[in-house]
Amino acid sequence: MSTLPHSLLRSLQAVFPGDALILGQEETLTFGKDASRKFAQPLAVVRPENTEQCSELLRLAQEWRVPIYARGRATNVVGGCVPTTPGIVVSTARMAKILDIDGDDFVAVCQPGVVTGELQEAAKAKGLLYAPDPASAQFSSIAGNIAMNAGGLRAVKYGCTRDWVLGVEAVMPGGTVLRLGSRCHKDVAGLDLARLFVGSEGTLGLITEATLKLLPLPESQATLLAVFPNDDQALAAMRDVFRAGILPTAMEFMSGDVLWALGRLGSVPWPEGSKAALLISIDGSREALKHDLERVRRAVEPNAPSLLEQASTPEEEDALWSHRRQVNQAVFVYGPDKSSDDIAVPRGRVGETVKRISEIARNLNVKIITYGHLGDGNIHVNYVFDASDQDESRRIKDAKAQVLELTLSLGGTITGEHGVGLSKMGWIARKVGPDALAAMHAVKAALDPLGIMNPGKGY
Amino acid sequence: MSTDTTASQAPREPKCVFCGRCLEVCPLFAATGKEELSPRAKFALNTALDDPDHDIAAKAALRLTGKCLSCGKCEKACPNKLCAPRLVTEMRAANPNIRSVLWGLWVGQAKVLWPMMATLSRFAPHFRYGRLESMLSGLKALDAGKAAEPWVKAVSFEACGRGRKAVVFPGCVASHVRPQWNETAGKMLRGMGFDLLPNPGFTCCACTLGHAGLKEPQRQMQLKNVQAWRDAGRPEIVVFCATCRCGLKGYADAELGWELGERERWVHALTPLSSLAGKAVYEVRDNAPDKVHYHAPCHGAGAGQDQKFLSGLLGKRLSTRGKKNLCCGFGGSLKLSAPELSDQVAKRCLEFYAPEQGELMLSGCAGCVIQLRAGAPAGIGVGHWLEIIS
Repeated sequence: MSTLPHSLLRSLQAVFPGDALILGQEETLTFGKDASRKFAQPLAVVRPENTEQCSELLRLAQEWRVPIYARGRATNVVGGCVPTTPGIVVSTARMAKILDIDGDDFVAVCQPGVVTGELQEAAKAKGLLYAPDPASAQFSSIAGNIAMNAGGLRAVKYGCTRDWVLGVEAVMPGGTVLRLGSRCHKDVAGLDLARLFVGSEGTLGLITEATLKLLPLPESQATLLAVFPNDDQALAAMRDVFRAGILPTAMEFMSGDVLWALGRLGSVPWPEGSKAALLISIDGSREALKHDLERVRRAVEPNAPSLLEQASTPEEEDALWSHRRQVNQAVFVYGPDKSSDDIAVPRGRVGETVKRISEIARNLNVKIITYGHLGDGNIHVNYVFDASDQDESRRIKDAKAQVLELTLSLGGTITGEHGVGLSKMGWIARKVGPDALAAMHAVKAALDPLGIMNPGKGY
Repeated sequence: MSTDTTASQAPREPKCVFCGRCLEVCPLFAATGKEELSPRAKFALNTALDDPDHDIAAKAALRLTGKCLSCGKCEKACPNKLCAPRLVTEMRAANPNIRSVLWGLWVGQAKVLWPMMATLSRFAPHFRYGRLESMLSGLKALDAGKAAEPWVKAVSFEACGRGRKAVVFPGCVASHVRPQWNETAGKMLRGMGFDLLPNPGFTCCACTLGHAGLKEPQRQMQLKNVQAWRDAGRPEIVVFCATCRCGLKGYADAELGWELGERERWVHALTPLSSLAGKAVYEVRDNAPDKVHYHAPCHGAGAGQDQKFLSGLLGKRLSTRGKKNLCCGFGGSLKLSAPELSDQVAKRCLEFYAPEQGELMLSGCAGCVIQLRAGAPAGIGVGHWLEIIS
């Protein structure tokens, strides 16, 4: 299908009047791309404002067998919302209201296009915490976070998006609207279909509303930045913090390469030439925090950090964490093209994993940058290169394969939080095995028999 | 795990990595939900224009990318410091189109057109001006009858201006529509003991011409302003419009035949009026509104001198609540090329402040004042902060 049939177009125009439907190639171009920088031209883009429009859209899409691609802020890096088979992109930009934040139920209800950071702020204003905190929180959408089961910086203590989803409203192919889960924090009635949508990468239905769990906002939080002269000392400090019996809200690692790249973006607190850094956050009551902070310091200091800086106010916290949030973009200083993996390994294998990735980089003479959520075993692996250099591109391909082989051999996974999308499709069978993959296909076929929801992605 | 950094440290031209940070701050996207108008969409279109795999119509792409408020918020948010307004300017400079020409006429011949439009706008309901109609409503809003009543009186001044020569840069609005702003600024400076020189023949700051991609007319105006300053003996230039201040500051980046050290002297000479206004003692009268909303302009907010002055003057009466993607909608050439979008941005801005009857909105940018005054509901005053001072 290279264009939409006239009859379908007329029906779409009736459901999506005015600028809620766009067709021009120039207008729709940006909707064909996401942060993976993969691209495919959409046939059309619609901007629904309510569930009824979504239901009608999916009725028409099923009837005409037209692929449907949900799109929030398109911040995913695995091509998760690229319309590879020509179809209709559904922008959630006009379904972006926070419908409810309830301090008695400890629940938030959101439309899909709400930016996660806005939800965090709105909850905070009521003394509540929405705990998931992906690095893209300030500019990614809640339904996107759900679709990809986004993790993030606080996952070491608070888990991933899945752990905070109580309910989902989803429109299914054909137009049926399912209301799954509830506002109850405990609800075991029937199969947990609400959480089936978490991490489904838009392949089952269109999420039109989410009910999310909140917590009381911790009274205070503090962050320590510890910079080290080498990786080993940083990894030893991380181990010692856990051994001290502390569960930090975040435990982030940045390699020397990352520190150097961030220094190119702007002012940084660490001296030029620093080789490794940990960002360690803890939260809790003011009294407990003071005590825990001292214990973290005592655990870190024997590993001889060259810089130990503490942030105690929200402004200081933000300044320290803003560096970490920019890493994904900063590494482009090493080359015009980037390929990313976000492997995860059992927490006890982190040190071994990063060392062996370093060996792979040396052996193949490529640039591999590692950083990320070492506290929960999730390591971001960035391969930065010049795609116009064929030899380098080939070596990068080999390096990626070796890193993923290594990860699986250590009992790890090919993606800890980014998702499979298009980028990891070649590895999903290796990761889950043929029987599990067949079961996933069976679930998909039951809910989306014609395969119109984000085809070719995930599994 | 660290690998050698030395091999890849050569600087490379930054490009859009499609991370989505610009969507967070773009007022046009926030007001319309149209991602095709976002900064990253502009960069994607520009890249596609050069790509033979894309069958993109240049005219349509230009029309779409041209819809920009030139607020510059995207540049601050972008990890690679890419600036959509600069891209738009470059694309326009390479492909001049009718919108830019209209803007050139409007600003370039402000002396003729501003008063004319202000007059015409009184009759706007009876005529059909097409796209100019929305712009005219802004000018109509500046009619003397809608001016905010002064309620702050300067009772004494610190003599900080003694021995200092200064000239006021009035900008388009004060030159042609709101001479009162200029008069009040002059009185304040004289009160501080400045040796206030007459306007040496300044023209528009040319900021808007730059946004429209009209590089040569912009340069001509810049040259004229610099020469006027030289002729006046290079005095301090006191500026009360934030956008003008931003535009004038940008001269230092242009090649304008600067003499040795003159570029730095120009930047040093630019003085926000609000940074001086705090050196006076004021009396707030009984007719003061209970609440005043301060709207921070996208351009020229500098170190926040306007807000700092007003906070000191008005205390708790002043609300400085803001949002990262808030804009009045006047900027760029959107007011002319897509007035309906400009109005949507203004509407969202006013809804955010949600002023109640009898409350006042103040800004330090002439463009913001025009735009917000045109869109504000009846009973809500909008003005430049100079208007409250008698």
